[in-house]
Amino acid sequence: MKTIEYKLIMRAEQPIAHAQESLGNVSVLARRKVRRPGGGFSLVPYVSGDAARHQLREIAARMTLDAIGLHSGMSQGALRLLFNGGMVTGKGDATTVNLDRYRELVALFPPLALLGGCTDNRPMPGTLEVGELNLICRETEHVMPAWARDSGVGPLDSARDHVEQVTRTRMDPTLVPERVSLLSSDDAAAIHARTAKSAKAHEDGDAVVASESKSAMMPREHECIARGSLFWWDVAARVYSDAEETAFRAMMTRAMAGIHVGGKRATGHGLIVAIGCMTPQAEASPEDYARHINREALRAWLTSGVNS
Amino acid sequence: MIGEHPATIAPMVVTARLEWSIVLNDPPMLDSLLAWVYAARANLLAPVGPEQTIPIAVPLAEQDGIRLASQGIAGTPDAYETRHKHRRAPWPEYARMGSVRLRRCDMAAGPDKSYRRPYVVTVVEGDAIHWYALGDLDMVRSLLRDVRHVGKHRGTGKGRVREWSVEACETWPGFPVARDGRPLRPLPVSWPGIDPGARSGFRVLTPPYYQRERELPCLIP
Repeated sequence: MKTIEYKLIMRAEQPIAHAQESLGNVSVLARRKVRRPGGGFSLVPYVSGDAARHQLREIAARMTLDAIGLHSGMSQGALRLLFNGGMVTGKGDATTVNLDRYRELVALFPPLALLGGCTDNRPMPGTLEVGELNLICRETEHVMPAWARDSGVGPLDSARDHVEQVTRTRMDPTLVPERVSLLSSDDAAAIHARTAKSAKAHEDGDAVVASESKSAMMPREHECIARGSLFWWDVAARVYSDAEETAFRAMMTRAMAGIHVGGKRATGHGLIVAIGCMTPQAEASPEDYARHINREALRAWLTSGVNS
Repeated sequence: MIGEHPATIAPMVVTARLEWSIVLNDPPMLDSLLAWVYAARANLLAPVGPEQTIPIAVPLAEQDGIRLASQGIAGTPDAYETRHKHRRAPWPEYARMGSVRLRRCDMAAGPDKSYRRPYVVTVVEGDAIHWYALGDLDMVRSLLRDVRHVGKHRGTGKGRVREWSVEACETWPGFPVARDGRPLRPLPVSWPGIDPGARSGFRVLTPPYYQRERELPCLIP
């Protein structure tokens, strides 16, 4: 058994919209309680270990599929195992695996040993320990590990300084005359009638009719962690074979180049990259990892009907 | 049988200083942490049922088959937080990479049921959990170096241990499993020296403690 640990300083290359809940039209950042040195707690934004761990799972799954050149035709059970870790049914049917089958699957797909999966009727823990991404700020200075403090992170700002509130609006195309002109005459007339009804309701102060005839335009707000914010992150795994070690190193090499966490990824949010590894590690490429895979056997299993 | 028996026996207090918060129902048992280290070193998978369980010796004293170590003592929690565990069926992957036979994905029931399950994260008093035990200090100290997290959701950073300390300590009547007539861990109902008014319930007496099918009537803390 060997334990490999990555201690990383990560930087938000894009704003991070890792929300915890919505209050009305406002999406609120995930925050955690941090004990203050003088008593009491501060709420500090963070990125959950679950979000980070799922990124490692996605990296492993996609790296494996690239290695065997398989991008279609897979069974539902196989995809669920690769991207979700499987499922618990409470009975040993074909969509679950027993311990012996689990060992065979680990040999076929080494990241399963790191990430864990499901056996007969309970989840099988993996050997990967993914820490939360902790914001480097004044509120966390006293709990920051020495290796993070020694990484030269510079003067610290308060957690509140790292949070920005952004307003966006989903426009209603029926409010734009040139788009309304594209509608059929009946639909255009209905839009004009609704607009007139809404205007009259506002003049009359009739809230019920105003609500019924309002447009679909929706302003909304979200909080995000500002671009350039720094986090400390540690990830460790117990490995028992060359295949597991290479898989872990390849996953982490890819993750250090950048992972996406949180929402709004389609609009330039969520990219975090490593700017320093305080425990220098050997790198591994997807090609190194591919050498440990039995491509034919894995391809046959992923496309077989027995696991769906 | 794997593991090791104690070479020497001495009273000790074990302390886990936590880096952050922890997820737990009951504080973990010390012998389960030590057994886990031997199992992890041997790359054993967690047994699903009692028939798959392999006995693991740990460097703690025993009496009537019970390891002489208290349950973790975590004091009064200083704060709680509610977090959520999410599971979402990988339907975009089903659509893009699934076979042609894969035509629907039921996210409300069955194997692809998606959920947002709440759980409670606890900030324990003084960020520390203590155990009292009789056993081999050096062996326990050496084994606990491999335990980086305690409690639930360890794989996602909860219950991270900043440091372990294992020190010799004073004893008292009933040490280390009872104090002032109150059990400090689940004990058989016939255990001597326990106050008749002590709480009772169903618990597992030996690791792995999650196998609830092995529960017995016990005196509990």
